[in-house]
Amino acid sequence: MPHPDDAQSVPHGSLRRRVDPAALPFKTTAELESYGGLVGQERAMDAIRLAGRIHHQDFNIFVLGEEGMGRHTAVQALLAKEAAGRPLPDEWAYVNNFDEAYKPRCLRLPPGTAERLKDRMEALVNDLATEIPALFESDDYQTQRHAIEAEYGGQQETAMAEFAERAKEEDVALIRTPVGFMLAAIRDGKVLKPDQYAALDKDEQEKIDDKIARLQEELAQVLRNAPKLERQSRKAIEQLNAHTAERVVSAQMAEIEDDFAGIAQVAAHLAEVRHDMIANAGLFLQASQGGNEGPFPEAVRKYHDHPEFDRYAVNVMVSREDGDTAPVVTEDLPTLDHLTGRIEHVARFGALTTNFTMIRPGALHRANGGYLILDARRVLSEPMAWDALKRCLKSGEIAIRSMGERLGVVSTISLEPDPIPLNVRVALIGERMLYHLLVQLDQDFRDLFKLQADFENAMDSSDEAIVLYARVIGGFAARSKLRPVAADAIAALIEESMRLAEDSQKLSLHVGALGDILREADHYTAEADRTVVAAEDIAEAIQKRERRRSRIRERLQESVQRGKILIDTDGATVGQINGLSVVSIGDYRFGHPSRITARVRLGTGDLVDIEREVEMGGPLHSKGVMILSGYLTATYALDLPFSLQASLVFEQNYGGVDGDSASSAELYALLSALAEIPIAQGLAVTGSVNQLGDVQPIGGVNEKIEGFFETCDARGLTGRQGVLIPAANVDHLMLRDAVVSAARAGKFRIVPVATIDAGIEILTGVAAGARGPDGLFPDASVNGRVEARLRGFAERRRAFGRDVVQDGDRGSA
Amino acid sequence: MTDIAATRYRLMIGAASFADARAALGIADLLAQSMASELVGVLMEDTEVTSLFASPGRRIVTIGGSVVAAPSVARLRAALDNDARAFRKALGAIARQHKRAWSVRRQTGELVAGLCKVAGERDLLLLGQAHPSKGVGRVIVIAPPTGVPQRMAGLGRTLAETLRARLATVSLDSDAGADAVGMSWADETELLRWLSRIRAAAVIVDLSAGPFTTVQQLRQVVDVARCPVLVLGLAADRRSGSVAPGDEGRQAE
Repeated sequence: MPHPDDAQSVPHGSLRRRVDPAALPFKTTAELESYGGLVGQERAMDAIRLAGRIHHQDFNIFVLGEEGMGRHTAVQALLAKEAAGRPLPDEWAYVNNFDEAYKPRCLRLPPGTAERLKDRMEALVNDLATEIPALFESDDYQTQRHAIEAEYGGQQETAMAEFAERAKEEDVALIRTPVGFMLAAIRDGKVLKPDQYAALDKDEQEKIDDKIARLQEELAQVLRNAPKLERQSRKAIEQLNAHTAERVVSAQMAEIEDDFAGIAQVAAHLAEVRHDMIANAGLFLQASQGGNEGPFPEAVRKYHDHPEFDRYAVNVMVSREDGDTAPVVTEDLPTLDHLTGRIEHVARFGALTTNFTMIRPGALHRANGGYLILDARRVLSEPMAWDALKRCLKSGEIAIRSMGERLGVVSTISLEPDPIPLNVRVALIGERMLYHLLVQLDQDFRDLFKLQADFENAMDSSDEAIVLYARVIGGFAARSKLRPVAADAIAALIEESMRLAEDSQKLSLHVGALGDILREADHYTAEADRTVVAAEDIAEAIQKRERRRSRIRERLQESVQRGKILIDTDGATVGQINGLSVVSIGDYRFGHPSRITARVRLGTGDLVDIEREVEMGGPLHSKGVMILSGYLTATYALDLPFSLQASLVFEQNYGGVDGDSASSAELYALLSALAEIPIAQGLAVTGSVNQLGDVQPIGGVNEKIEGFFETCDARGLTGRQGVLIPAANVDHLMLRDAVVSAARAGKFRIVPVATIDAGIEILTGVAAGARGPDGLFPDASVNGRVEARLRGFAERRRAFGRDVVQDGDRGSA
Repeated sequence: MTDIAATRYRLMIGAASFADARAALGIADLLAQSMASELVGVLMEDTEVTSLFASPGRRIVTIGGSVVAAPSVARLRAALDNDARAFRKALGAIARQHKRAWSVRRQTGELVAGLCKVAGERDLLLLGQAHPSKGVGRVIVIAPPTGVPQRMAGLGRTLAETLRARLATVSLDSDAGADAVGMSWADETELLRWLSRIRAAAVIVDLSAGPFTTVQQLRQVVDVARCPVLVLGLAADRRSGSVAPGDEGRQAE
């Protein structure tokens, strides 16, 4: 049975790169100067710093990279540092628009002003609600008011009295009746009765009638004049009220106006407030009519809470009282409302109402003048949030529009607040795929997000880099309040980092994953009652983490061992090979062997990929299979039609397959089937192939090797087992210790392969064969036998075609 | 002198229409909670006035200042029927609120004289009269010659507070308390002339103490006041004979 020897195998020392703890310049991370930044991300850091410093519009930034790379932390830290050098931005508040209440006005206020203005206005309302009623109750006011009422009331009363006297002088009585005033003639001091009137002669009746008619008109005139006098009285009282209110309002407001004298917008607003308060002094009188109801005495009642005084409130949207630098705001739930703010409503008498005091700020308000950090996926997945964010950035102002309003599904009183000018730098953090989709599909995105910070996945593992990496780990341990980490533990973590990077020459920058291991290791350190995290703790954390996630892997291996999944690890078979695939479940990956078989016969050049036919193969896999066809047609029997019918299948594959990492294995199976030379089943193969027969590197090489090793190990290692990997993948080897130990003991081999010819020789133990001067492969070589088989197919096909033509000729004759 | 708070009184509210009665109901409500044990509403129909509506071509001047044809007697009576129902409903509500006995009745005759006639020994008389125009006037207390009794003054203050009006106490120059009152006139005629030219919210008189003691004088007060008039000391006057039967006839204003 063919099997590779040591000379063909990867040297033991290259199966896993070791970091020597003794070479590290410390015993524990406690000795190291902590490093809080990120390593290996200089390009991304520069981009973020530029976004933080540049003042021009639209230089927002998209921070792209994978989860767990410290993007959020880095963006937060860098932008906070930039924010510290920026001035505290202005504050914003909404106030009533006394001309159009549904269009609240925004005030731009210097830092530290908004809350003070709000407090002053509340105190003003509270004071006036006490002082205005007191003033209106005063003797001074009452005397003036009564004088006005007496003046105008007296005019009407005098007119009535004088009319009554005039009528009496003309012997006419003014009689009140249930339906109005009646005038009746008087004779001898008594009202003339109807029969007495009828007894009078006509002239006298006419005289009486004329007199009464005239007096009726006079009385009507007196009564009609009453409303006019009442209006004059009301106007005079209103003027008195305004004058009275003006005295106290002006006195109170003078202090506020002095306090905010330098702010033109506030001065204009205060002037309107003063005018409105004077015109609506009745509000303060009505408020005081509640008297001393409630537990608090009049002097400490908070009138500003009353809805009728909302008109004088200051709705502070953004206050900078608690900060001393430009804001750096992170919005974890970037809904439309949370981004641009919202207008709340309350139900009153069955209807929804609102006013400017119910405008609530969003993240854009809070971040205005500073930085806003958002998760791209969340923004994009919230209805209308992305659209609203772009709209605000493009227009340079925050306009609040509710979703209901946008969709037209809500019909209620709403507001159109003044848009607030926006000056913010947005940092979107997301995956690369999202970035590329946005670049491709959203024209606005390219205009608005001119910067990108692309996070590296890995960095070079030079000696200096390893020490810096150790400082990063030490810094992480210190920030997370973990125990100091010993040098051997750091070495173990760095090795794990290389494995995560899938490259023994690189260090993974997925600090989140390493942090998880370190924290779990710290837990085991604590359980063992030790003070320093040791290599054994790291190993325990890795091993237990692996175990927790390996249920499916173990079940698959169990199926193989029990013969449910057919995998041979010994012997040799024609047209059958062990391929290797990687199964990904979340962030956990493991390798798993799959049987690949090939069958051939005479045909018309069809290479059937059964996975593709049943739509279980992805596009990359299909591409790989088509490359095989190209290799075969360009390598063998170049002077004859390609007359092969072949089929390839991943046996017992029920979940689909993608990627081209099995294309070399498929080609080996095909060659085996064509050459009718068996392939050693103790070997598994991974690697893709091009049309020239070069074996190309693939991903997940460690997991694939370990997957097959596990199968072989469970059945007992024979020394003839191993994995053929692309030679270019040797640098990526960071295998688990079990595999390395077996290899060192000569029980398992990792064989680098650069070409298909090299691979087929190892798999079959038969020389691949090269074309000689005569242009032919040696007859006994694999290639020679393949070519002979293909020639045979072609000849038979030609003969078959000739027979068919002759049969046809005979038939037609 | 009538001690109005010494005991509970029956309050008679008299008016010629519900509009007039309604003008007095606020005062009735106040008195019902403080001093009246029973409320009696009297809707008076002055038959002499009603007979005037029978004259063809008779016109009236409405409160709004329009000169219109007077309604027929039948329609006037129908209106009075409605007024009586409304009066009963409104007074009943006040009485129930204060848990007082109450009744409303209709009567014919001249308002002032008729009520004085039916008023009993322990009655307060409240003559309802709606003012032709809006506005707040003063509560006028017409002080007796001997000065304003404390309880009368208290009643005046309470009414002024309730009606949110200023209080004015007036008297004749010759009266003992004139200096203390501050507003006084030479005689009854002058006082009535002044009263006819000011806006009054309510007038309080004590017939037993003067200066107005007769039905004729009371009618004059009512005519010029053009507002509700609260009459105290009525029973005492009746006992003293100040209200003469001959005073019942209507006199020209």
